[in-house]
Amino acid sequence: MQTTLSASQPTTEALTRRDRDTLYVIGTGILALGAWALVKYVMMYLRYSQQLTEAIGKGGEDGAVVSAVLGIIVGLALFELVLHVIVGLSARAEGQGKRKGFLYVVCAVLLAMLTFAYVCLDVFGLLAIEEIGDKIDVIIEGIIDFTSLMMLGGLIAATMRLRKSEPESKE
Amino acid sequence: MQKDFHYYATYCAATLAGYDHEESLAISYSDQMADWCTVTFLESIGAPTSAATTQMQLELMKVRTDPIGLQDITRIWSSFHFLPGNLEADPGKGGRRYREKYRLICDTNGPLVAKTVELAKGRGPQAVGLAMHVVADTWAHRYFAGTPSLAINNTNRHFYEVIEGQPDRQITFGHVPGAADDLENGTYNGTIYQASERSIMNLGHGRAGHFPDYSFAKYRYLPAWADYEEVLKDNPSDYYQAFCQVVYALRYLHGDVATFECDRYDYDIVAPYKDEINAIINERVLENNEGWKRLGEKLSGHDIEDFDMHAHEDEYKSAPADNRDGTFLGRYILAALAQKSMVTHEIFASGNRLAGRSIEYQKGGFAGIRDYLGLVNYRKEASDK
Repeated sequence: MQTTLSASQPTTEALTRRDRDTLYVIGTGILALGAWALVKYVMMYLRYSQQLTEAIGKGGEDGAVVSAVLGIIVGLALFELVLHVIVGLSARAEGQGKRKGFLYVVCAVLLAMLTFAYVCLDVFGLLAIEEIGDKIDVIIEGIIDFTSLMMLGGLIAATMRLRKSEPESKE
Repeated sequence: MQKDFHYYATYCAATLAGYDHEESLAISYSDQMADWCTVTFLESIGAPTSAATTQMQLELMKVRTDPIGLQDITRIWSSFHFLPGNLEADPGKGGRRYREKYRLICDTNGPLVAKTVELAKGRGPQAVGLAMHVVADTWAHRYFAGTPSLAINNTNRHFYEVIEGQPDRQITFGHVPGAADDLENGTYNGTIYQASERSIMNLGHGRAGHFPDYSFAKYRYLPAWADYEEVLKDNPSDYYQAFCQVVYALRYLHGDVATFECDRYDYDIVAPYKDEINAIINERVLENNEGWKRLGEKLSGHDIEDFDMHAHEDEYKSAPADNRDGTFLGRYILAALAQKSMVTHEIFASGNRLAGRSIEYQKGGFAGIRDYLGLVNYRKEASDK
């Protein structure tokens, strides 16, 4: 327990508290990003809904393919949202000292892989798009996706450190 | 600390150190006055406002937090309530701005404690009382800094009261202005969280409310500057130490001890009253004026009048302008200016700009705020004596 005003090596307890605090803060951020992801999909739907409705209304083979694509997009959006919620809430709980199962770590890794794919798409999009307005959109999205990736990396690292320092599992 | 220690306990300490009743009253009045001498009060009596030793809530609400305003705040609070423990401390991380704030963290038995006590030597009860206020506060306010800083003074939900015979209880800090602290349920008032680094909410121990000032409080928490290390603050033990150090300091100022050294305590003189003092300190009340008053009256055999901040106003206001320095409040004001000048200079000389600039008038002649002109003769009188 530090009682002097001079820098010294951190104790194990201090490192554990730091990792827990990291999980709590990042977990809250992941929840916020989940809400953002939902907003993003809703905004995309509102922007392109007319084109989609017209395409679906044509019927026939094209309509069926578009409906299927729409279904996949909605499914992906919901899957992403669920991942955010699981990871965010579990990280916050673990940050408060309640031990969570390994499932949320798996979800965090899945989410990180998905986010990495988004970052790659942002980079390809930036190279492919010529319209300056669209380029700016992609840059902004890329910054958010990259930040999200860093957050997930920090979350996974903090969880691994905590598991290593406190190997016993309790729920 | 609060009135129970600054007024009544200081009276007890002064009596034990050999001061008579009238002197002890003057010392304890001056000690407590450090918590009341605001710009508003000084303006009301026509006194120099630079001598302010504290700022009330209403004043803090409209205070500027630009660099000039921050320097003014830091000068007051660091000089009188959060005396820096080590102006050369190494935080081990962060840039210049963080280092400067880190170095203002209050702690006991730093070099400035000795300077504060020595500055009061031969100055009369007003300076003595003011010095004892500063010394006592280093014990209650240690680990907080007298400058607005979230990075130094913030606290979080990891704040537990240690109560003997019970599991540690988490403290909840509410933000209801004027509401009384609830000892029973562990709910206390503190300033509201403000993410702004230099918000006035992050001054001193505001984030922990009055809790650090309760003599019975034993608690563990995570100071923002401590990098997730937990600190245990044992007020009952610290307050007893503070009392014994104040007795020792008063004996030095009374002339019974040749030199003042930090980390020395008059345990022997206090020993006959140790159990009584510990009972007073450990009693779970917000302020134990009755306990300390009872002890003081037993020690001196005299009644201790209640503290009245207006007690010496008339003398000051009715005195001719060129004679005011000789009045009770006049001497207190000079002592306050000297203390503030000393601490500000020490902070400035260490390379820290948070308290603003300081000019050594002995070397370069007087150049500065007119209020401080009287200190030119103040120092000369001390060296003549």
